[in-house]
Amino acid sequence: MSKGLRDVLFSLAMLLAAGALWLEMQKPQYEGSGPFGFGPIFFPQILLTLWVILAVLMLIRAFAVWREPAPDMAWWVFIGLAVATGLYIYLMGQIGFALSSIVFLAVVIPALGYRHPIVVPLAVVLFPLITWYAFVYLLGIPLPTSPWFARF
Amino acid sequence: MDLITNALGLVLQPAPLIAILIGTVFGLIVGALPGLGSVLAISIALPFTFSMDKVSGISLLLAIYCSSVYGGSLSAILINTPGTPQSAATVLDGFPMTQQGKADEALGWATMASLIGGIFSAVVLMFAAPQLARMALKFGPIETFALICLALTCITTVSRGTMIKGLFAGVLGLFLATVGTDQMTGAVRFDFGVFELTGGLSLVPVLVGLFALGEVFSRLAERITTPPEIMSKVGYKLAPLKEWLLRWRTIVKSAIIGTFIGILPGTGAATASFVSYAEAKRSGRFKEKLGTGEPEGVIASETANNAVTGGALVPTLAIGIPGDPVTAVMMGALIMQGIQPGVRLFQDNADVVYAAFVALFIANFAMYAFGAGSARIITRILKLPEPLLLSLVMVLSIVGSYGVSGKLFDVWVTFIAGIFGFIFRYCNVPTAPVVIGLVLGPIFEENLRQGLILTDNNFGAFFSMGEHPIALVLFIITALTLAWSAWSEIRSVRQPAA
Repeated sequence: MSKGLRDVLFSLAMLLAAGALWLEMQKPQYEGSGPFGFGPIFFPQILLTLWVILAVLMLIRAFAVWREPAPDMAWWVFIGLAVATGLYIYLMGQIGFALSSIVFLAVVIPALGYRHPIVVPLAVVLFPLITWYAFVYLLGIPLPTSPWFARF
Repeated sequence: MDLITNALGLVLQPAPLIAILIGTVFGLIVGALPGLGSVLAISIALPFTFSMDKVSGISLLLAIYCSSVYGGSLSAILINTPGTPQSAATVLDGFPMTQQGKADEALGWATMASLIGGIFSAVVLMFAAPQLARMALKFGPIETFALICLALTCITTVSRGTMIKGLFAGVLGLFLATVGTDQMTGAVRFDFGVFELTGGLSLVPVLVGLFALGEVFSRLAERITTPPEIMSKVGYKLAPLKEWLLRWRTIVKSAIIGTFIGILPGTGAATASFVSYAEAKRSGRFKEKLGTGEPEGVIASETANNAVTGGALVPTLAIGIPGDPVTAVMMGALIMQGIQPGVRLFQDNADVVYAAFVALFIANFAMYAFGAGSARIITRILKLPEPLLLSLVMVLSIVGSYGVSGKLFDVWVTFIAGIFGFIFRYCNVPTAPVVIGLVLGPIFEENLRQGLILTDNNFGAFFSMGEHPIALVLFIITALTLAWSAWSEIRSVRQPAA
């Protein structure tokens, strides 16, 4: 992908987002001028105008770098990581922090290419347990628990 | 004097001292790891401060700030890769010293120079910030609005080469700050039917997502690196006093340059270290040897970059302007602790502010002690494989955002912010302006609306020389700063084509 195409896609996405926000502002809940003539969308409207102007400027500027190549990115790594992180957060709510972190690290560390037979198992088990202990007992911050144990 | 005595009493307690020790070690490690840096270190630690009292939380963050800036020099000297951009100039003489088998001496120079720079700037902070705040007490809503306009121009300086994108990111941050209940009308804005959004977006989850998670996604997707080779013996050796005295002019100049540049919004420690290095190259006693492994180069860079720490806190604390991403995060941390940096800070929270000053002094000494004693251990950590390290950072980021409020919703916010952080990095959109906008947004809107009420909806009155001369001066500086940034941007676009 070229830098130009990347920036065009980004600018268009931001213009679409601006459109969605503008539609949101048309809802009845935002009607009324509020005290002293300033309704709740007085300031957001100013910002949205700037948003659109800057997005259009980004779009125009994109053509100046149209042919330059964008930096290489292993998209599959990003998508894999994003999916794994999303599942991790979901699992955290279901089976608690410690167990979900063990599963997450056991999958992610080897998948990213590090497979030391001693360090990986140690990190996978010890790091979540130490973090869990530090939060729950040292900092007094409760973390999500599993359905099988009271505090774990 | 009473304030300082009270502050000493607040900081010299087990909890703040332990916080300083932990913060120093953590900052040192994260700062030394190439690419991670001060912002990420503070972002990761930020959620932990919620379970601490104010003084301990602030002490932890200040210790991380100081030691992470210094930590960058370790990897710069040992593996020719600055751990943080602030230490880029340290590479120029630090690594040649390592190649000559003098890594221990280079670390000695860097550690002591960092201590001197840090202490000098802490002294300046202690005396300059209250004076600046006293002057700023005369500010009403219009002056404060003008001041925030000026503060927002620092977005253009942290977005050099990508000014339009930086400004866009700033507007996005300001917009995100409008999510939730409007303080003036009580209406709920942009909640999209999600109940958790009615209270607005919490700063920490957004910040941790944008900086920490986004950085991890980006680094792992860009390349997988192998641990670097350490080329020579590692330890700590302090040069004799005679050697230091030969270079005292560079130390003093670098400390002043670093502190002054730190006070200027949007410049930062990387600029300070290069300006200071250039000055040493121009006027240093050993200027001909700079670049070949001359300690004066290490001193110039390291004194200046650590002197920025105290300098950058002057506008942050006194007038509520975060000069760079690090201080923007620090300001966010203070706000979440119930302390609003700005004109009334020294009136309302003098005890906490002076405790922060004292903590900054102690943090600098802790940085020196741990820096001198931990070179070998840090070297081992530098050898940790990136996939392992970054996976652990991800877990810390996730659990940290959960810890703030105990809501999984905040973790999802972090996750989404992380994805945006990655996309922004890929699209070369700076992320710091989003945080600057998010932090300054609420007071920006509030003062604009209050100003309009005061002037009976006449925005032109904001620029009245007779009624608001300070505001007018600030608006003029804002306009000039924007014009200068725009001109620099246009020039930088034209130059490659020429």
